[in-house]
Amino acid sequence: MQQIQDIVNGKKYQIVSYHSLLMLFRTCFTLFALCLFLFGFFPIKNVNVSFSTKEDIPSRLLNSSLDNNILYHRHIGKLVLVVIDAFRWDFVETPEYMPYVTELRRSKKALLLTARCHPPTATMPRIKAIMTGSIPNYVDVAFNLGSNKVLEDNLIHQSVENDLKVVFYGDELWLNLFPDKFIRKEGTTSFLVSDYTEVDANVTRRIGKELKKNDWDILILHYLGLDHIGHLAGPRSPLIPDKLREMDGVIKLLHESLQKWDLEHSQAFPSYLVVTGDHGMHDSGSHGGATLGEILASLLLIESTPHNISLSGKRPEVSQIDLGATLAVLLGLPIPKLSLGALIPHALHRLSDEQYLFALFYNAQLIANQFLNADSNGGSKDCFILYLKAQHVHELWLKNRTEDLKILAESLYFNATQGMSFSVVKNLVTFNMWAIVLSCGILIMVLFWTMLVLQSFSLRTACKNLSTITIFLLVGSILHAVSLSSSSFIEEEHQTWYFLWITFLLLASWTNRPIGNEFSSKFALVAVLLGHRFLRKLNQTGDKWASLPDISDWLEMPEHQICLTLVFLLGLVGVWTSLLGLKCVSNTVDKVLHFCALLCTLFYRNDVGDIFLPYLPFISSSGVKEVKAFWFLILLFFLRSVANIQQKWSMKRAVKILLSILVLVSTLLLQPSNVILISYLVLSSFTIQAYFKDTIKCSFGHVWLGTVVYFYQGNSNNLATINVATGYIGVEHQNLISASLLVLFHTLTFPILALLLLWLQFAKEPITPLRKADMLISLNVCFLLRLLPLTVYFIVITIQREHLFIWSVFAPKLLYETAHSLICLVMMACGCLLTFVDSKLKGGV
Amino acid sequence: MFFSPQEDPHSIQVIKFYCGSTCLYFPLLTILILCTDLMYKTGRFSFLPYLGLIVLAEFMKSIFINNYIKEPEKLAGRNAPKLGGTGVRKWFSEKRLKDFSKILVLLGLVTIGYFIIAILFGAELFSKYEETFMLSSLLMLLTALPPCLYLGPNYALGAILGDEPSSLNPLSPIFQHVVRITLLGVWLGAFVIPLDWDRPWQEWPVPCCVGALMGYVAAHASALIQVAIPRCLTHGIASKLKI
Repeated sequence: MQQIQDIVNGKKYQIVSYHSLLMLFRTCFTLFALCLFLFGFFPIKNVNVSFSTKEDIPSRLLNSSLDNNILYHRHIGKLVLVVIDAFRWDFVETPEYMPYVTELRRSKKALLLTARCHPPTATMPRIKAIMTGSIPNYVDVAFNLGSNKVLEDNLIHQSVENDLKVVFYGDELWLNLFPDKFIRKEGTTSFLVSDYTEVDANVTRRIGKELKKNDWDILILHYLGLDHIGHLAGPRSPLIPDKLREMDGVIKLLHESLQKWDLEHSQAFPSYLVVTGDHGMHDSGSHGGATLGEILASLLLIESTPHNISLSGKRPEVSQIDLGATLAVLLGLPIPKLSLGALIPHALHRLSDEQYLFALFYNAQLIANQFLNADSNGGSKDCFILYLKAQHVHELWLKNRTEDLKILAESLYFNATQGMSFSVVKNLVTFNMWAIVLSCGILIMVLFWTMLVLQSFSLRTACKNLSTITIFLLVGSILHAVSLSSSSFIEEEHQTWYFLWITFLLLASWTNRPIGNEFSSKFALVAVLLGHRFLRKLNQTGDKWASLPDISDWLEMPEHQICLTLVFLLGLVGVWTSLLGLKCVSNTVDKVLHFCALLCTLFYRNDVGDIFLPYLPFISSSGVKEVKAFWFLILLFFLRSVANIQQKWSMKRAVKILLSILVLVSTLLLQPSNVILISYLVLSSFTIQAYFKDTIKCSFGHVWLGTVVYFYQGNSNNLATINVATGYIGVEHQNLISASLLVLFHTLTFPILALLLLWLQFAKEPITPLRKADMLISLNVCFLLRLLPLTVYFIVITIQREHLFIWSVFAPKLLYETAHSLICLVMMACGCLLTFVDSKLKGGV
Repeated sequence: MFFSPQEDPHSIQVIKFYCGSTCLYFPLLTILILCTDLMYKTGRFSFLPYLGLIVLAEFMKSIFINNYIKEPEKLAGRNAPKLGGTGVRKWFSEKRLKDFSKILVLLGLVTIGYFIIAILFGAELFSKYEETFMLSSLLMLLTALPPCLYLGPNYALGAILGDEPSSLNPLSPIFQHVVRITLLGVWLGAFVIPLDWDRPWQEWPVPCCVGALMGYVAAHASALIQVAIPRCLTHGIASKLKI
């Protein structure tokens, strides 16, 4: 109370600088708490680098000794593993799509299974899971962009150790994961998502030559085209059947050559062909989350001779991690050390009973060792006792070979393996509760501190007569924070925001009269209202309704390219008008720079083929040159502005420079249909400022606006909606840091821009101490609005950590929430610093 | 959630009768709708007869209040704009016809207004017109019909929008109160629609209609309680909060 009086009357800049420093301290404190929570929730797993060897294959079962050379050896000749990216479980079901596979299934040469993956359903963790048989850490998804070498024991390592030659063609991710393991290799980049023919043609071209050579044992192919089509057009695209027919052709080619091979060379063991998807596909076409479409992939086991397994109706379902161990048994290799998968019985029908039970025993022993390591008193658990029982029955069977005993041993081994594996997986996740509780405590403390500060600042202006709209803003924010405790509300969070936003607008028009030009403000409000209705249909997002067709889907169809071009041009015009309207560009040179940057964006989209302009020349097919020119122009503008601002410091100018640079960059990064959102953001910001002069309401409005437009853009709380392709715009070489920065900025563009638009208002000249206090109040409000959901969510997730959906719904939301907070906190820290510097400079005068 | 009623005994009597009668029959109707399959029909044209029931009840109430609750002498002189005040003799007159047609147009406009607002809030734009229309009509009946009946077409809109704290009729503060609470009910009801629970009561516009009915009951009940309990208590709180 006294302080605000001082600011108003005594023009004490010191108090402003003091408070901005305090605010800076709070921000950093929160950042610390954030990191602490992440550390506690996603513990970094120590990599176990020990490897299995031939000696690990058991030679004793309880009291009887076994000859493991006879019981455990190679059963298949050549192995071809075809990984089709995003090969969803139901893609094989339509006979017309894959005629050859259907024929194989009818003639009992192929067996169709469903493979269930663990989330996150990104390619790298899935490949790791297949090859190591273990479940990679959740954080691995963060490193999906820059894949690093697999250090754990894996199937490829075992093959190479045991003199099997491996050849690989396909996604170059494998080359990063398993460097120097393949005798021949060629990687295709998953760089250009828009290319879905070349990537696969490059792989298929190699098969013919390989099938003529005799120097390899394992051939791995990874086809990316299907996944690219999914990202581009979704699982119901007409491109999908064509692609599946192409894949069917590849399978036909491989199978026929292998059959011929087996006849000609009459090897001791027949060849084996495995076709699997690394993960499925979301109904919207992307992947990463945990919906059934994403976690269920097809798994085809194809042989040269018909099998004799009778299948009862339903498709058998196995876990994806089972594949690694099963292939190891078929190849007679030691099973990778960290494998947790059970053996797939359908694949092992060629083993004799003795060999089969031995393989089950070996696999169970491996998992039992891990089980005892993870759980020190696991020896008394049910599943371990089952394992001991199974051994006894197995030994009994060796002496008295009856069918009953065999079946009993088999089922005991399976149950024991499954139980122990489940328990190990559960124990893999250990939370650091100290860190979690401490960080929650810090956040709660900072939350109350901020509330107190805000109260002392604004008691006079706001709290005495709470208007309907202030109450609504407070209640709305609290309702949203509380709604995060339900997984359904998290999945449909955008709906909550759309609802709150439209209520806010209608209440504003009902209770408030605009300040200044009444007609234009009312007109703008109507435009914002109607725009909202249109834009919420631009990108369907969330979970339940995400697969509904939306406007951007319609625009991205090849036959509607002309409309997309028009929308994009409209968006560019909107950006240009917004920049002029915000007075971000004042002098001619800057105007030219901005205009050229926008032109670069236009040329880039034309070259990449997103839009089509008849008279525009092509410059480069990948658009790299334009993007380079774009960055050069931005740099030029930045340097000019820095030189300008050094002569005469002005906070307004600094915010404007930042704003215009970020607007330009987001124009480049955003999808062509989304560029129009920038002008909506600016228009809405104008409207809010016209209706509310009060700092607190204005800040609330802008923070909500940023979030609403963030969801218009198509974001959701599912990791699948992150557009990874933006990380590679105009880049020639993969660079993890720049790619992740660009993706981060692209995802959170609108909250960032909304904050800048808000601050621009408070940086207006002439700067009086009162304006400065406004800036501080606004900073505090934004901080509070970020802190409130964050704190509530941290508490919720701590309580719900055993929830069924913790990894599929809550953990992705946690990643989003922390990324959002991280960016906002850094921006607020910059805002505090700016205010501090400004008040110091002004105070000195 | 308070309102500031007029303090004279006549107004209190009118309010007590108005809210009391609603509190008698409307909860019964709501319970009937909630406990039978009728709830799932709120978005269908087949629900129209039940809306007719509401209209009928509202008409009977208005006739009773306008004709049988005697106004004190001081108010009788004032030119109170109401429908039934002129007595039975001039049952059909040009003014009445004019008022009647005005009311129809106004109610139509209000329905269209609710329709547009529902669409802005996210109701389907190209389908489900029947459902959206039924919600708008229900809201129109609950919020706009009573003001039209008691205040006449010229003052009703002001009462709905809450523009003027009209002292022309003892019921006008009630109308504003009812509009607010009913719309709050609809607003809260809409929260469950997008969630993935796949229940039949999540269908548009079922939760909104239920919210409206409950809000309507809550508004009248709270108003009744407020006028029924000692004046000094509520008056103090209401003036302090000024909601």
